[in-house]
Amino acid sequence: MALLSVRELSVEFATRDGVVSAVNGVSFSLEAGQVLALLGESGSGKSVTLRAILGLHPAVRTRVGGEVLVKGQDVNRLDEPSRARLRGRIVSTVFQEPMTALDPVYTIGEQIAETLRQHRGHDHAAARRRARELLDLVQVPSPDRCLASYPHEISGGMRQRAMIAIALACEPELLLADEPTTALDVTVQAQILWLLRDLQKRLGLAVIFVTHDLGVAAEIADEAAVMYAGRIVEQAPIRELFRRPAHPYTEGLMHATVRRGQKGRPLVPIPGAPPNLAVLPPGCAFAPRCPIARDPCRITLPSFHPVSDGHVARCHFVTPGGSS
Amino acid sequence: MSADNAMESRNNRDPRVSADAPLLEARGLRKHFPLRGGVLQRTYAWVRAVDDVSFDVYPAETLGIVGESGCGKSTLARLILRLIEADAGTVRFDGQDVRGAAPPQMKRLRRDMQLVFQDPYASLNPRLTIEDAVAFSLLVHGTRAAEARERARALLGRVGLDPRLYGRRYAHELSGGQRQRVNIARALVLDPKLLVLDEPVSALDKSVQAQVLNLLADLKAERALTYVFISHDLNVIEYVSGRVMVMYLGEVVETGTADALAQAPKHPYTQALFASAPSMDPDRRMDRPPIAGDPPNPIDPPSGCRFRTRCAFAMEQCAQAPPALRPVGPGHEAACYLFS
Repeated sequence: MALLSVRELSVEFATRDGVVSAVNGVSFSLEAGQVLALLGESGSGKSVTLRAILGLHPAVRTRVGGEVLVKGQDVNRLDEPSRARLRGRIVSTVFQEPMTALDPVYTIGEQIAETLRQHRGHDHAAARRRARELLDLVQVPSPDRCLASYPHEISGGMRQRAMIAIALACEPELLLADEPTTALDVTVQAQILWLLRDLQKRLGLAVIFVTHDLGVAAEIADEAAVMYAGRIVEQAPIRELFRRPAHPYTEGLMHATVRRGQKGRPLVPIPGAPPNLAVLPPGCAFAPRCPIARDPCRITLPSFHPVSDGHVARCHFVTPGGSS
Repeated sequence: MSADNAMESRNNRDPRVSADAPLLEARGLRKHFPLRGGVLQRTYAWVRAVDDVSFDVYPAETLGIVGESGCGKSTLARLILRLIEADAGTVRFDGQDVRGAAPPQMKRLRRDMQLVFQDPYASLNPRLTIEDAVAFSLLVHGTRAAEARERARALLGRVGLDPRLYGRRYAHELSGGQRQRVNIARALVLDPKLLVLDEPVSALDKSVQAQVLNLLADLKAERALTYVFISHDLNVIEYVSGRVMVMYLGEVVETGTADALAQAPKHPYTQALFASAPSMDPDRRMDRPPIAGDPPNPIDPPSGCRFRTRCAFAMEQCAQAPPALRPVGPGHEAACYLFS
């Protein structure tokens, strides 16, 4: 049994401008110890997917369809106490902005200890001891000072380390990371990526890493799923994705990204803008921006076509073994 | 294409052998912000945002300024345009003293130097249609309304927003990329010579970022513009710039051509910055982080070389006095005792 199995997940929000389909039929699964990058630009549904895995979407004005099975249990059918247990012990999260995710009126030590008391029933002294161990684990240089500090008193990189310590407090099996390095400076991002990769290996964690940054995905993931307009459009082992992007959107993204040594070679942008999620076209959502789109693309939604072993793309014009 | 090549070669030439006078000259710029507190609002500390920064920008080149948060790059942009007053130093634009300019002269200077901000939404007036937003500065500078509107519409068309479709819309009805196009049109409507671009593509998705970078390159070639391009993204800076200035905690640590910096960065900080950028290649992942720690707080920067607390090569003298910028190659300078 896979650690996580997401089947035909859909998330709709009722808004003033109509029903917004943020996620439309997303399916994937994750084995223990595997790192999956959910890659996509703003509005692609990557963060909404992540929240649905935790069952974090409020019932009001939100409709969640499909199944999210964590170790065989459907997150959306659990009652709130069992869901809370799941979040504490099996699945845990690191968010993008540690300053808003941490509570400003408690010290880092209190916040880590709180997690341990809630989920593990540690007493005060045991929680303090374990909190210090956790800060050592995430390589905070002076853990005692960090424990006594409030979030605003430490640097952005330290805050993100503290967030990771809280996420790891209950020894989860699955870590959900939502753009955890996006708000950081590049030299600090390198440190946090390296730390996450090191911890993942040492602790055998499964990780879903939501990012908009191809480079970050290349640094951390075993596998990547590229999202566009609420759907996965391509999924492949990470090396394969960079070597042979098969979906025109993935290919477009690679050509539009400025790389080192790009100078003198023009960028090839993707024309236009992502579609309005309240009025999605019937066929392929990328068709209006796609250089190879033809009539069928505007009428029928393509299903996944195999490209190579473990590599699929949702495009009518994908041929096995080659790019579209 | 030939115009592009000409631009490229001007971009990459060694500025010291150029016959051109600089369009912009900054000397010894300094800006410290007071931090006040208590009932009497006494100053208890100073944020040393920009300290003794000097540089030249030559006509038709792009000077890239790169650095992490708190390095002073955005403060520097505002000092150049005199949106805030410097504590010390001089800025000369086209031979004229910007810091000493009286209000009428300053208004004339502002026609020639314009700024594009990072957040394309916050920098547009939500109550103006985008046509009116672009025409606004023309009206301020005395153009008749009909003509101002005509020119605004033409420019909107040039930046890729059909004025018949978009002219009467408001900023909130546009996407991030479209808003940034409006900001670029607004900055260009007075036909400036210099555009200071402060993180102009950082808030945009990658697919849109490329559109805006290409637009900026085309406009520069068409209008013989000079850019000061500020970004935290080293790949973008290397791509757009002829010369690059690397800043750390309010000071310049290295300057040189984009090529020289990319191929042989000298300052340990520049090296770390390049090495920290993700490789875009799953087979060439980082073995370990290039440097430890966060950039320190600019309120109380380290003595001597401000980078020494994170530097693998730090020596005793680094703590004593700040190293000066010294030549390390043609048109290439670094502020590090390793090269003195």
